[in-house]
Amino acid sequence: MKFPWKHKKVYIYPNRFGFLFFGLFCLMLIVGAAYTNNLIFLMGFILISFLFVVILLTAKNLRNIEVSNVQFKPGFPGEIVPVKVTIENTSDFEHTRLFIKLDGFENNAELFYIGPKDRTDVVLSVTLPESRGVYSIGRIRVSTSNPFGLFYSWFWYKFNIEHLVFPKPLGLKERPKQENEVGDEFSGLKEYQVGDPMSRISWKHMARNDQMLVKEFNDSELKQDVLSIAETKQSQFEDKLSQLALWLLEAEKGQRLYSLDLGNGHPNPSRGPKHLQDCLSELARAGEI
Amino acid sequence: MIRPRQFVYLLGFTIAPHITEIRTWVWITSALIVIWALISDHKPKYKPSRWLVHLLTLAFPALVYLQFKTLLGPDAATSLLLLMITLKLFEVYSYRDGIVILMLTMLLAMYHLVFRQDLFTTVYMVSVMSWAFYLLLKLNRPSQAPRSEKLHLKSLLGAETLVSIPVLLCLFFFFPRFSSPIGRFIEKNEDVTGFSENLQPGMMANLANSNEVAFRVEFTSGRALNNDELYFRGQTLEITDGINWLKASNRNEIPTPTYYDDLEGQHYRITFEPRFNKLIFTLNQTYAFKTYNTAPGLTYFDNATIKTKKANQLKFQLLGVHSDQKYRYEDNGINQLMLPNNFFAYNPRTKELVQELKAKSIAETMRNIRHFFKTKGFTYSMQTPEYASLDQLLFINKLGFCEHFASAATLLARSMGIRSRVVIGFQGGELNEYGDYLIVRDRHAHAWMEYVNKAGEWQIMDPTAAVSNYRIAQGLTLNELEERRLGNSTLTAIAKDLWNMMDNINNRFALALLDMNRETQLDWLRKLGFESPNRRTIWKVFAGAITFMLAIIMFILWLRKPKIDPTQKLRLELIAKLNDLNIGYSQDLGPLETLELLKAERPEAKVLQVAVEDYMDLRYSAKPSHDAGEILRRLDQI
Repeated sequence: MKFPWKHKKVYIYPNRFGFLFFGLFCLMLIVGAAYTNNLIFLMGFILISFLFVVILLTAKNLRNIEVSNVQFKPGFPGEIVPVKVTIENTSDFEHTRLFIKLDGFENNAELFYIGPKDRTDVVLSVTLPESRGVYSIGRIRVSTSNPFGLFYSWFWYKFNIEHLVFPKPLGLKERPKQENEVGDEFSGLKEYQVGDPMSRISWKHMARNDQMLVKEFNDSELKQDVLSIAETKQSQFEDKLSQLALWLLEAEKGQRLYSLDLGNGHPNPSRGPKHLQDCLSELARAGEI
Repeated sequence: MIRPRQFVYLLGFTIAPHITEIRTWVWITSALIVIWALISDHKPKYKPSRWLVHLLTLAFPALVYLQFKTLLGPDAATSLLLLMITLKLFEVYSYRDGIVILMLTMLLAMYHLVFRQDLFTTVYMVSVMSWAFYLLLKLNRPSQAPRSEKLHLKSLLGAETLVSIPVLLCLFFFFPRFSSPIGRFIEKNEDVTGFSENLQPGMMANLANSNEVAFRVEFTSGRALNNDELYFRGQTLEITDGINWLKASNRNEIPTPTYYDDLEGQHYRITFEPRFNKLIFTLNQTYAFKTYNTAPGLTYFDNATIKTKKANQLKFQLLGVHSDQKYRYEDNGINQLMLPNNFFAYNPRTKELVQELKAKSIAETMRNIRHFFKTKGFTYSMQTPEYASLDQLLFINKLGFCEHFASAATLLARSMGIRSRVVIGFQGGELNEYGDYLIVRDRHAHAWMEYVNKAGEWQIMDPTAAVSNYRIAQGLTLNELEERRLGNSTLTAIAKDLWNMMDNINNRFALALLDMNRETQLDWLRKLGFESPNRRTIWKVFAGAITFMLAIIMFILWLRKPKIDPTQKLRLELIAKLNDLNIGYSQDLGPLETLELLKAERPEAKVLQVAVEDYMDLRYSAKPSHDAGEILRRLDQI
C-alpha cells in the first residue's frame, strides 16, 4: 500500500448535464452576437466561469477523502460477500454522494453523506469469481458528481490486498475409513439419535435385532480427523481440493477436531470458525508458488 | 425529491422585470398554469392528462407565432420560453427535469438583457443566475444528508469560487467578439414604445405617456444650446392624405460627412438606448457625425436623415457636430408641394384662410401662419377628436397635439406654394446635473415642420411653440406640466434627485461594458505594440491570456493542496502497512491490541512494532520523545 495522499490523481470530465450547460453557453454567445449585446456575452462568460469553478469544486469533493481500510471477507466461488471500505473525510466541510467501486467488480456503493472530520464504513456486496485461488485487488475507485452534478470526477485508491476464494465444496460427504484416525477405541452401543453420523450406525445390530444402535468410542478426548489429500479419490487436483473443502465443512458441522494435510504434514487439530477459515484458506492457496 | 414549487419562486423573480414587455394573455396563461401545477403537485388527481400537456406544447408555439409572426424575435422568444417553462412544471419528476427548467430560466433571464442594458438589469440577472446555481446545488444534495446540517456555503464553495473572477475578466476582455448570421431574423420595424417611421394620428400622444429613455445627449464642446434649439430630427415626411404622413420612397443616399474632433460648432455625443428600428436621431443642423466604437453601419440621406443599415438592439453612441448653417434644399424629385386630392373641396374655410394668410414673401407668409396658431385660440391637448378634415381642426375644435399642428401648418404652407415637410423626432429633454447630460425620453417625442426659405435652405417652424409656449421654450411636456400642477414636494424632489444619480451611474456602467467590442480590442492591441492587429491577433492574444491565467490558477491550487496533519498522516500510513500484512488487522482494534496482534503474527516485523509504540508515545504521552516526520521516514525505509 502506498501513501494515499501522495499518489492521488483526481480525474474529471463533464457528464451529459455539463455538456448541456456548455451548449447553453454557446447559445448565449450566438444570441449575444446576434444582438451585438455585450451583456449577454457577459452572462455567457459568467456561466462558463461557473462551470470552471464547478470543475474545481467537484474535484474538491474528493480531495479530502481518504480510504483508510478495506476488509474483504473470503468466500466460496460465486458467493456474494460483503467488502467493508472505511472512508475518512479529513476536511472541515461535508462531502456528499461518493460512489465506491472495486476495480474488476461491477457493484457500486453510494455514500450519501460524510460530515466534517468524520469516518464511516461503506459495505459493498461483491460476487466472488467462479474458480478458487488467491486474487489480488489493486485499486478502488472513488467517484462523485457533486456538489453540482455537472462533472464526473474520480480517483483510484491504490493498495494491494489479497482476497481468497475457497474451493467449491463438492464430492462425497463421507470419508473412507482411515487406519490412522486417533482415539477410536470401541466402548459400547447407544441408541441412535438424530444427528449421529451414519458411519457409526452398527449395521450388525440393526440386522439382528432390528434396533438402530450407534457405536460409541470411549476415549476421553474428542474424535480427531486428519483430512488428507491422499485419501481423496478424485483424479484432478482441483476436485481433490473441493472434496477436502466439503469434508472440512462436514467436520466443523460435526463438531469434531480436525486438521488438514496437503502432503506437507498436518498441524495441531482444532475446530471453530477461525480454524475452518485457516484450513479453507490453505486450500485456496494450495499450489500457489 | 424534486418538486415544482422549488422553481416557481425563481421563475417569478426572473420574470418580474419582464412583465411590462410580455403580452397580457401570455403572463395570465402562465400564471394559471403555475397555479394548476402547484395544486396538482399537492393533489395528483388534478394533474392534467399527458395528451393535454402535449396539445398545449404544440399549441403555444403556434399561438406565439400567430401573435408575433416569428419565433425568433425577443418578444416571441420570451413569451414562448415563459409558456414552455410553466408547462414543464407539470412534468417535474427527475433531476433532469430540474436541470431543463433551470436552463430555460437562465435563457429567459438572458432575453431580458435584450430589452434593457443597465446596471440594475445586469445585477438582477446575475442574481437570477446565482439563484439558479444555488438551486442546482440543492438539487444535488442528497436527501439522506442530516437535516440538522445546513449547507455551509462558505466552506463548501471556499476560495475556489474566487477563481471565477479572473476567468470572467479574462473572457470578457479578451474573448474575440463576432457577429452572428441569425441577426437578420430578429429585426423588428417598430420601436418598443411605438416610434415608427411614419406618422399616424395618435402616435405622438401614445409616446407622450411613456417615460422610457430614448437617448442621452452630452455636449462636449461649444456653446450651450437653448431649449428651443434642441430639435432632434428623425424622419422627414412628405407624402400625405391629409391625415397620415408617409416618407417619400425615392430619397437618395449620399456620402456620410466625415467627422473630426476639431470641426467648428457644438460637439455632442448621443447614447442611444437599445431599440428596434433603424432610425437615428441627430441634433438639427448636424453637418458631420460618426458612430462611436460599437458601430452599426449608417446610411445618410439627402433629407438629412440617418438610418442604421440593420436594426441595432444595443446601446451605442454617436458623435455629431452642430452648426448654425442650415441644410440646403436640392431638388431630388420629391414633390414637397403635394396636397391631398380635392383638398380645398373638403376644406372650403381653409381655402379662404390661405388667401388671408398669403403674403408677398415666404418669410412673411410663414410669420402669418405662426401668428394664426398663436392668436386664434388653439389649445395644446392630448384629448383630441379624430379629425376628418383640416377645417374641423382649424375652425371648429381647435384642439391638438404637436402632430396636428405640424401637419396643419405644412398643409397651409404647401397651399401657398411653399415647399415644406413634416419632421418627426424629439424636442427638449431633462438635464441630469450629476452627469451633466440631457435625458431625452419618449414623452419628448415631437413633430414640427420645415420649409424652404428664400435662400433655398430648410428652415424650421414649430407651430406647437406658437400654441403652447411652455412646450418648447421651457421644454415641458404635457406630462411634466401635469406634475408641476400637482406640486413638487420635497419627497418627489429627493426621489428625482436619486433617480438622476442612479441614471448617471447606470449610464456610465453600461457604456463601460458596452464599449468592449472588436474595435476596442484592436485599439488595445495597437497600444500594446502589435502592428496592424487583426481578428487572428485577437484570437492569439485570447489563447495566450487564457493559458497564462490557467497556469497561474493551477500554480495557486498546487500551493493550496490539502495539508494533512503529520500525526494523522502517520496513522494512515501505519494502517496501510498493517493492512498490507494481511494479519487480520481492523481499525476497531486499539493501538495496544494492534501491537499484540503484530507481535503474535509477525514477530519479525520489529520496525513496524517500534513505529506503533512510537505512535502511541506521540499520541498519548504528555511529552512525546518522537516526532511524526521521523517515524514516517523510518517507515518509508521498510
